[in-house]
Amino acid sequence: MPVGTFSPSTIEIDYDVTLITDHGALTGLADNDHPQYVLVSNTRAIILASSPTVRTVALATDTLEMLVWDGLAWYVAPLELIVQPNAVDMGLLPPMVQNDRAGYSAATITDKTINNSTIGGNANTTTGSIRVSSGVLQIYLLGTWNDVVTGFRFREDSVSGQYELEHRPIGFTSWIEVMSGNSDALGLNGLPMTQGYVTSMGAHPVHQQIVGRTITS
Amino acid sequence: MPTFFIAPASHATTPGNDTTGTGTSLLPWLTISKAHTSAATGDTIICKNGTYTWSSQTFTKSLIIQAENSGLAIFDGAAASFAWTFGSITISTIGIIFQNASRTSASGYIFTSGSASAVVLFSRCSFLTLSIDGGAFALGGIFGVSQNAVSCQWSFVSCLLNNPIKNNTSHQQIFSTVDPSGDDVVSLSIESCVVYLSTTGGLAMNSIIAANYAGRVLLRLVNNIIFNGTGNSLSMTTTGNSGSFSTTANYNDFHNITSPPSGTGNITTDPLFENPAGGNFNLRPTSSSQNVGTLV
Repeated sequence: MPVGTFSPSTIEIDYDVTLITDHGALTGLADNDHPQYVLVSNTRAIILASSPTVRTVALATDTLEMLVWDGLAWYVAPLELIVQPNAVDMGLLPPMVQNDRAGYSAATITDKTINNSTIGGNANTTTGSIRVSSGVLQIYLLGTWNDVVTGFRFREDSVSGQYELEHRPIGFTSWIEVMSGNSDALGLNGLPMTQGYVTSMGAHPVHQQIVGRTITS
Repeated sequence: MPTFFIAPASHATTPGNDTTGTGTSLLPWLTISKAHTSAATGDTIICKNGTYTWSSQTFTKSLIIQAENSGLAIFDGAAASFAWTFGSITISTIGIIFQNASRTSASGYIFTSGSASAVVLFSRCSFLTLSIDGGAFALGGIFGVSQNAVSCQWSFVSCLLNNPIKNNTSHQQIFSTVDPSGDDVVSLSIESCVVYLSTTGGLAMNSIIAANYAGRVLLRLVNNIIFNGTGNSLSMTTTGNSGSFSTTANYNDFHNITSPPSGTGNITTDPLFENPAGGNFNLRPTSSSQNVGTLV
């Protein structure tokens, strides 16, 4: 058979360029005719509806369960998944070792010490919630936020030897005895620099004066 | 931290002795110098009642120097010229009276941290008739620093400075600071103090605090009475050669002070001391400085 030479200068081909992206739309194929593979949409229902031809382990993305196909049926694997946020910095997490998990649950932390932490705001309004609001430490009790009083101490007075309840107002450095309003700090004349929560100028505080009333016979 | 004791030789029951003493309450040392040599950083030196001979001392250890009974331990300089110099330490002096010293030195001070990064506290101390003579130099003071690449902190709480004077005609001040490097700060806090200026035995000071030669002072004044009884014009602060102040002044009585610092609660009326010439700086019942200070 003679062989000729075909030398066109231009060849034009017309074809349909519609792309097929659906597996089931291909001629002769169905949507799920590779049952050895789990569908992309790995919900628990889809996984359980499938019957892989080989033993398979699958993660149900909606329930976070590990499902095991042993060739005959699906089983839920007895595994606990712990979801960690990106910024976990508690105890030795991560990496996690078995002992560190004791005391942690989804809702509570038990028998752990919190170090190097700061109490900030708190949107929870359950009894026992704590927060710092406008520079004041507060605890939620009896249905309301209550200020936690700070700046108080009991101290043995260096002169009288008695224990006194003292207060240091926020923003100041001097301790004031609550009952008298007198400061620990003394002036050069030996009197408290502050008396009755009142302070004079200079280094020689004045004697506290009694404001008298009219005495009648 | 251990506590050691010193006592003047005239102490009735436990006279101090640097040779036979051991620094205990029963066998106290005689001098601050001996106590400083023997003590360690952080120790407390208790000064028993009486009058001590006050002389030069350089402190290189952080110490607390405290009167056993406030106002009854007196360091008397016998009008001599000397200085207490503080290194880069923290030193607290409590309840002691310093009196009768005269520093004669160009740009000299009686108390100084020199160019050291010192933290100095005087609490309930009295400074009585201390004089400075800087000759032709105008940078001297009762207290002063001459910084060089360091910052320092001085605090006075409930102190009396009575009759600080100068003995030369050049400009002198109570607290003087210079900083040739121009990059450091003196934090100076004066709280609940009385500064009573007169001319008894000398000439009037030119200012209370001076920042010279790029010296920068972070000044805090609270609850003080600054009384100018010299009859001369006297400023709270002066500057020279690019010195500067950043001042917070609240609840002070600046009596007869030229251009006093502004702030909350400051007044300028006569505080009405009981008897300042006799050393009684208690306020009379009608004093306008009474009960108008602030909590600190």
